[in-house]
Amino acid sequence: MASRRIPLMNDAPAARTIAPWRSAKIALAALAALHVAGCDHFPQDPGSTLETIRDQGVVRVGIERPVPPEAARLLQRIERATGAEARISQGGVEPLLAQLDAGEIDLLIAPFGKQTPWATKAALSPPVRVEGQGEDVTEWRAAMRSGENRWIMLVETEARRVSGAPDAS
Amino acid sequence: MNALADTHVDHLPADIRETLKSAERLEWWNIFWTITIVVAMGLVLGQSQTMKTAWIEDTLGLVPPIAFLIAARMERRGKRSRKFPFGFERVNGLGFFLAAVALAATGALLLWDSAMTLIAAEHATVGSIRIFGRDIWLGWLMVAVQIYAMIPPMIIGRKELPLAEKLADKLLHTDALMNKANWMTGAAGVAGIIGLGLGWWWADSVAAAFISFDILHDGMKAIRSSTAELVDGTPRALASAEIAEEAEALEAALKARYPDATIRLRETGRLIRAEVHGCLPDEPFDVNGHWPGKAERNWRLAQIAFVPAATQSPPSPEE
Repeated sequence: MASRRIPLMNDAPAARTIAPWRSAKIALAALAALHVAGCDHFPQDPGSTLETIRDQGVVRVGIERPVPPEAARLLQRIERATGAEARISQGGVEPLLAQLDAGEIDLLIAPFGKQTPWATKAALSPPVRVEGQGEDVTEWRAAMRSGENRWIMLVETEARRVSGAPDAS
Repeated sequence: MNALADTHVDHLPADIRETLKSAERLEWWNIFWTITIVVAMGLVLGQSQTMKTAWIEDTLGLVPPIAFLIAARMERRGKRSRKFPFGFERVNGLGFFLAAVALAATGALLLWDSAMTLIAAEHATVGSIRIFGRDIWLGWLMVAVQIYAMIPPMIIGRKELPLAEKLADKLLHTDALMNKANWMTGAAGVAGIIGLGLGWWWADSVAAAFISFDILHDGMKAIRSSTAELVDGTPRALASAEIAEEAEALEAALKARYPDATIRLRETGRLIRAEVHGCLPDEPFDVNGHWPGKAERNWRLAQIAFVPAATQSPPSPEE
């Protein structure tokens, strides 16, 4: 239906029929461009968490109690990936989660239950260590501020490498 | 005429019966594609609120085609009986009401959801997933699924419009609107997720809110029109709650023919029924001479009933 040539200005009806196709093509081209150029730039953090970490060379980490070796390895990997140093502060999980939500710390490492209600309040990484069995299982995870997707993706990626998680975990 | 043991569809022209069948085939495809979309979207939902809403919307999108298929089946198969002496042609009107409610609910849900996300300033988390040894942003998968989810409704919705027109089928027309709502939400979803990727947490909610107004508006219009049908209002146009042009013309024609009478028109499913109050019919009476529009639409006028003035006794000759 649509001819290959570019419709002329006075070719009004034809131009109208082609217009949706053209806008679809533009949209597709824009998407492709975004994809090619954007894989490294997507996603961004609305609160610039990762940018700040890189700029200041500090990852502010909250913990409740001493962490297992897997979690320590995760921290090392994050330090290497960001070129920043982890600065640890200790506190209760709940106040730490509030600080996380307010952007006062960047990361919280703690054991969470399988059905933890915090999963909606913060973004949780894949588990790096699983303790216990059945109903009482607790998983050591890192929690990040909701929506800081670039930072979340970095931590998730490193957590998967620590735990050697298989595909589509 | 054999009043019992026939169906409403038996009285429709063969051409219309064929169109009804092809509309049914289209709706089966509609259901099939919608289910593939619902499954695909369910797999990449994640925590994104917009994706969840789009998912609920696509699921609600199953209501109009299912309602249509049930109505069409009853129209074709449902024989008149002592319990249902008027047959099942109005099942379509009932389905139209259901579909209208589903459409309006979709719009309202989308609006509520996006408004709440904006008010709470919720920052949607869209994390990553590991596929084939690579960690990729889940947003790309969501965009891919949303684009996939736009294609079937766009095609099916377009195909439904001429069929709805020909069949005078408002249920089918509402389904075309539902399909439009679905692909528009898909477009909003793509824009929203790209915006999210750029760090604009508000992008998807704003896009969704914008589109929800349009969907809600279509839904309210359909509710007005469908309730009008259920309370025996004058037949409404396919796409609005205004009186249909065909009904206006029919009313004028009947008025010209029976100047002293009061004309009452109503719609039962895809058919129009007329009551002429205050006079008796011409002798000999032929219902076929009354349709003012194109001959191929003559089937829409199913009945003219005459109610003589003084007595208000049972209507005289019909059809």
